[in-house]
Amino acid sequence: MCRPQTGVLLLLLANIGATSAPTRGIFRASPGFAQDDSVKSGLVTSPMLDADPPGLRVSWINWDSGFRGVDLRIGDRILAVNGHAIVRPKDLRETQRSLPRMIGQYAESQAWAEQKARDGTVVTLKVSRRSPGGEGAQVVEVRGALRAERLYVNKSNANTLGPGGPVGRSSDGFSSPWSGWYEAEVFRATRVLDGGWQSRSLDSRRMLKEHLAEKERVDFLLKTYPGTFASTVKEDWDLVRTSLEGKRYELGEKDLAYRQLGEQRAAEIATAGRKAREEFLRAGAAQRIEPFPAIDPIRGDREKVAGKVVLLPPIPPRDWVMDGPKAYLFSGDRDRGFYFVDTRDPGIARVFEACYRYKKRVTPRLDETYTIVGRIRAEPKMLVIQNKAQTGLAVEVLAAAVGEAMFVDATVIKDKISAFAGEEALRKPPDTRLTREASPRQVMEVFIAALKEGDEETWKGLFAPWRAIGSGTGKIQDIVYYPYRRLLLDEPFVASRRLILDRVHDVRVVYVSEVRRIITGKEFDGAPVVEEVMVELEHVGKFENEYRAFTSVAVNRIWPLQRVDGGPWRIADPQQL
Amino acid sequence: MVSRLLLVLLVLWTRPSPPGPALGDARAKELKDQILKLESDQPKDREVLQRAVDDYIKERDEFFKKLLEIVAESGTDRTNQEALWVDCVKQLRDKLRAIVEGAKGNLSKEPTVAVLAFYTVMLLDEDKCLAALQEVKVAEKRDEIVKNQALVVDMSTKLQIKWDRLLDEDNRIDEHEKRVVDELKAAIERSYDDADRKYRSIKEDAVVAVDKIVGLVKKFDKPITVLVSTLTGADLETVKQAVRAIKDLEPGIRTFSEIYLKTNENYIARRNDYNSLLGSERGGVYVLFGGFRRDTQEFVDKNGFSTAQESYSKAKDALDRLVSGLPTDGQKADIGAFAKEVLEKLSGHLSATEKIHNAFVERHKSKFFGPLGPDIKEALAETRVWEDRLRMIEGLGLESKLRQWRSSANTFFDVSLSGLSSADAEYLRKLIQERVDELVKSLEEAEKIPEKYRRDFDRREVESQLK
Repeated sequence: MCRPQTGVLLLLLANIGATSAPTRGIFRASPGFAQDDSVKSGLVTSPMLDADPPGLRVSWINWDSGFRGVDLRIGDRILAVNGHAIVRPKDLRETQRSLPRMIGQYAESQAWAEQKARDGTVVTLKVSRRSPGGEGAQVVEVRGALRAERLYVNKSNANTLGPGGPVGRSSDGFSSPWSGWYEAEVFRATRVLDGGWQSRSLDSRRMLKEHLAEKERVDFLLKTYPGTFASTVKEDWDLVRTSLEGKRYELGEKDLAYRQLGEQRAAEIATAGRKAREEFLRAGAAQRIEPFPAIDPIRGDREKVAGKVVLLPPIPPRDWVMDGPKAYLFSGDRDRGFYFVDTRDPGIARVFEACYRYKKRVTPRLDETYTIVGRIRAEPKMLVIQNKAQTGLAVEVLAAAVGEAMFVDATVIKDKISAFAGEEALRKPPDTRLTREASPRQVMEVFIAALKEGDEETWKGLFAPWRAIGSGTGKIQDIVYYPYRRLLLDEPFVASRRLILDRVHDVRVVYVSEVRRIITGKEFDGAPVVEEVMVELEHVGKFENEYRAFTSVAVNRIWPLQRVDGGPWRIADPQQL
Repeated sequence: MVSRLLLVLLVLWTRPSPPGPALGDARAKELKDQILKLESDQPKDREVLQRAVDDYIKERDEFFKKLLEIVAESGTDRTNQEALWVDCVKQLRDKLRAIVEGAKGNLSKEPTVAVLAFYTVMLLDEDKCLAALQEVKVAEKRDEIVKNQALVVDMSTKLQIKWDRLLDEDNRIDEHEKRVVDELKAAIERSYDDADRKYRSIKEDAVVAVDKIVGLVKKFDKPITVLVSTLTGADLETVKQAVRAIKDLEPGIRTFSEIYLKTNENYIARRNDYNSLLGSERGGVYVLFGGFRRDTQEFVDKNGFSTAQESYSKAKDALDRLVSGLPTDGQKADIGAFAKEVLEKLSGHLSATEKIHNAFVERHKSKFFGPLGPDIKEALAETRVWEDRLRMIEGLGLESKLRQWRSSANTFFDVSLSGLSSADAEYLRKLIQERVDELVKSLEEAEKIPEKYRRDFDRREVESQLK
């Protein structure tokens, strides 16, 4: 927004009614006035003098700035002006003296005046911005012109916002004057475009609603006061709208499958299991005999039943018995006789492994009641069950149904495992194994995948058990380092799961910063070297049947990752998704 | 006086100093010495650091006491002391951080670099020590040693239960087998009583018949072979009747033969019953017993006392490595003392484990593992009991009796034919020769029964299966 400087105002007042030419520095720039000795960039900058390298961040570009229409963006970090690097002042006094005169600060015109800069003087900026590839930064040169401060008036000599623009004091029937309204719009735009998405205070959807409410006024402005000002306002308004709407994502069934993963998988596997079980029993019907009453394993004719197949009744988890260090499942009772299954039997071992895979990939809820189809062995066995020695026959496991959830044919072995029915069709979980050399992006991708899969162990393992804060100055007073801290991640995990199953439909890694050394290793003998990167995540939600990025106080976009002495990257901030 | 004083001084000087605090104070001294040497114009900062050191060492010692209690726990149901150990050390690490952070907050506004370096290095060194302690897994070794005790006791109890049941099963089969043999013996006895009666009857009848014939030969003064072809009428009838009386011995002799056949049938049937029972014994009881022995040997191999010793040894090595890897001498001294106490506790568990193992071995060796004891073999095979049974069968004197009968049958049942000519005697023998031959053959077969019994019911072969 163009605010008249006090000096210009006084001169203007002095000129009202005057017929003589304007005084030195002020010239007529129809339909207004310009102060030639007060040139500015038209930028609003935020100092980042403690950063490495130091710079000034572009927070806003005024509508009439000489840097409009060039490749300067809000968020760019100015590193040098006309070849002169922005330097960190030595001390507070130096900062107080030099900062206001830096580009985009309130007293920059003094510095331009010293340099004899005029309206139209071209200035070259060296700026750093995020690399379009999403990793690190790029440095570009941007040229723009300085402009003398201008004041615009209409035919009635009332101050207007830009040539042909609305009178600042008037409202045209809207709730607030144009100048106040425009100031608020700039404030909102700055909030959104200047790191708004990276702050934790922006609620993009709520702000979008507020922003869209101003469309009527923007359209009115464009229609009633066509001109540079109106078109720039519209341009800025569109930019903010696009930002607040969030990037559009196409999410297909596969992307969203994880949301019903657990239950859906369980239902599919149960159906496949029932079918496989029926087929298995049908195929082996000829070899099967009734299990009970079981023959006496000592006095009975074991040879008569050896090799025959039995379908045992379901064995609940309590029907396990330890014999020294070995475990057995048993089926039967004193009256009907017993069958025993050694848990070291290769068949049942493959069934157990299948259960473990089921819990990891389908759902952790599994009723471990085993309905076993087994082949009777000739040898008798004796076990102590509830302090009584019971004899029975050993059984070799051929197949097993586990609760109503799954079925495993243990006679089918591929790569040393027996798959549970339906397992092949399951979407393979992402490989959550990380190598030591995994990049920050890879770490976060595994982080997201583990969260979707509900893999709590992997998710928690990605957080750093150390705490390191530093500015990379090499000075001991500038660091905090604890090699160990206790991480309490249960609640963040639960909260993150809730988010990923509710409001958040996907999460993407959108940016990884350059690596920064925050503890150099020189701070004291034995000091570690700690490096840090910032990874930015984008949360995708569903809005009016579209999937779009969004941000709010409930989600965390910025994730610091650190590594110690070149070790693996880990998340330094224990926070929820 | 002076010499007495010197003596007292000498005694005082050489008297051993009282034992220091159990966990040592070398580290505290080390840190305080460093504090005194720090470059700082702020005495307050030194005080803050000293207080932090005192607070930390106090906490450390309290936690170390807890760690010793964790390792000392002897309950065999407490098998996850490792988790408690780790949690305890983690808490101490949290305390360390809190104390050091608190100290930093109390320092002067511009502490010197040396002061800042001190607390940072202290934190790092102590945390390194505690991190190593957290991972040393000594409590895990304690858990292993104690679990081993519980395992051995449980195994011992179960083995006893199984043995009692096995013996019960075996005894039942044995009793059944014995009943079979008793029935066999009774059947043999009955047969032989019947045979004896039959023999006597035959002999009596033979005596009467031979007497009559001798009488007729004397009356007519001619051989019987002449009389049967020359007499007529009533006299011939009388001679024919007398000869028929000899022939009439045949049914009796046949019945005598058949007694053996019946005895043999009985024998075969009883032997089959016995073999069936023996099958249950060998294929059931002995197989189970063999399984117990294999399982027990495997158990002893994998869970013997040597495994507990190995756990102790690993704990000792881990503690030694921990102490030698510590960054400062003060830590080495203090943690070294702590490690000794930990090992003492472990040693206590090891002794208890050894006792339990010794009791296990004492109770079950020569039964469930190691060479089988003769008493165990006897309990299952009952060889001696069966030898007694053999003696009972042998005591029936079957063989001699059978030989006697056989010999008697060959000599016309020991009936004297001296009143007859040799031709007449031969004539009479031929009348019943076929039956007598049959009888002799069957008696020869019957003589083999005791030998067959010795072979078929030999428990030594059964006993040899027990290994």
